[in-house]
Amino acid sequence: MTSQLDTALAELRANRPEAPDALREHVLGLQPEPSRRGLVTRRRLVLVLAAGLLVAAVAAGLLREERVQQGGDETAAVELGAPAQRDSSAEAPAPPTGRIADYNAELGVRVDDLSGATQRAMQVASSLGGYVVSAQYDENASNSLLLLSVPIGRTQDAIDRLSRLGELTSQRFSLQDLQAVVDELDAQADRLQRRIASLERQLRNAALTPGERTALRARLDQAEREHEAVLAQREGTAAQGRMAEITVTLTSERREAPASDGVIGRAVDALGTVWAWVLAVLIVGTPFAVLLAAAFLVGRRWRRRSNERLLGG
Amino acid sequence: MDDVTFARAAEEHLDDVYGYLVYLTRDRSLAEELTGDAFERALRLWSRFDPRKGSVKTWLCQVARTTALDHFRAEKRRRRREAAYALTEPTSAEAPLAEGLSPELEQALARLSPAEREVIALRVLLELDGPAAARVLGISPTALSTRLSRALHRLEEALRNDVAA
Repeated sequence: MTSQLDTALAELRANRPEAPDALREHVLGLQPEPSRRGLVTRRRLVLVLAAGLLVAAVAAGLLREERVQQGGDETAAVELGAPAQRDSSAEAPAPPTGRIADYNAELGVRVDDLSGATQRAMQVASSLGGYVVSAQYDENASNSLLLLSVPIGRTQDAIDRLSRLGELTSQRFSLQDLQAVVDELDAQADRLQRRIASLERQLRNAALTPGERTALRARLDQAEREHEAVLAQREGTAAQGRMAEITVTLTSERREAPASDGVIGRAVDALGTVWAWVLAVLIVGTPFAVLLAAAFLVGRRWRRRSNERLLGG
Repeated sequence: MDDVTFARAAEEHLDDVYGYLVYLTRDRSLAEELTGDAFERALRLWSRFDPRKGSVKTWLCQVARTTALDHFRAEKRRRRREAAYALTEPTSAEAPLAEGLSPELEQALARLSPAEREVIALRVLLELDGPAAARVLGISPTALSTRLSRALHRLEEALRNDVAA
């Protein structure tokens, strides 16, 4: 550094610009906002929010698990396919009394002796006045599938006995009211019966021409055929309503991952679910985050260059 | 550092910020206006000031620089609309940067770009250390060192030319 430059720099230091009084008065008169430091900083807020979300997610998982476990027993009629509680028998909804209904039940039962349990399940159906509609059992397989038909009045008894063959793993019920269908078929049959009686009366008239008689007889035949069909349909529907169908899946496979018991176990499960979600969000969100970060960096670089150009640097 | 208040920071560093902006803009009335704006902005952002990241003087200079750049950008847009404007030409260049400066030094400083003047202001006038000045300018300490060296070299050249003339 030359002495000329040293002198210049010393001159610069010695003659620092001083703020005018008006400016000084203005700036020193500015009143600071009440300080928020020490209360909640942005970083603390983010941490608290993240922790809160995690706790809420775990709690939601716990509550959900709790509800599913309770619902398995209490709302069997509407909880389709819900896992049943260990060592409990299914509580099937009672079929409506005095009405015809289509009742179906599906049970999953884990058993130790598949062959013996299959035999006993079939015996349950026959002992209650029902029968085996179909049975699939393979000595080498670990499952057997039975379709049983039992009188609708004995359904609850059947389900109770079938679910006690082993550990109930799933249950599903469906109930459809058929009374309205039967009532409509009865009404149709009555109408047809009245038409047949009317046609028969007309045919007894001796004044009919051969042509008219032939036409009336054809209409009578048609009405009788329709009447028979309606009665058959009515009988089929009523028969459907007299019997309930129970599908039983028996399995001798062991449970792969037993459900955790207790609050801590369920908390761990719920946490696992949360982490699975977090992982999924990370996988989906990472490309977007990378793009955003790249855009941010490019934007910052562009801004710096713009600043340099602005200052002629 | 915890008991640094805005009022105290303003009192201690008003001249620093004003001086920096005078050198950056080479316009005392504009620097005055920008200093007021910068302190108002600093007041709004005061809760974000973290003494662990740097001194209050550095932080105030950063705020002042952002304020000045925003102004330049807005001015540039305005001038572009009105056509033909050179940023290096201040609106009231006749006024000296500071009382007591020799005309030769004034003239030499006028030949520097705003970027060169600001690095001299930060390092020589405000006596910020290298890392602090680099933080204000948003560049690395190495880049700052290069820029300062170039600015001083140009200032020396300008002074020499003035003397020769």
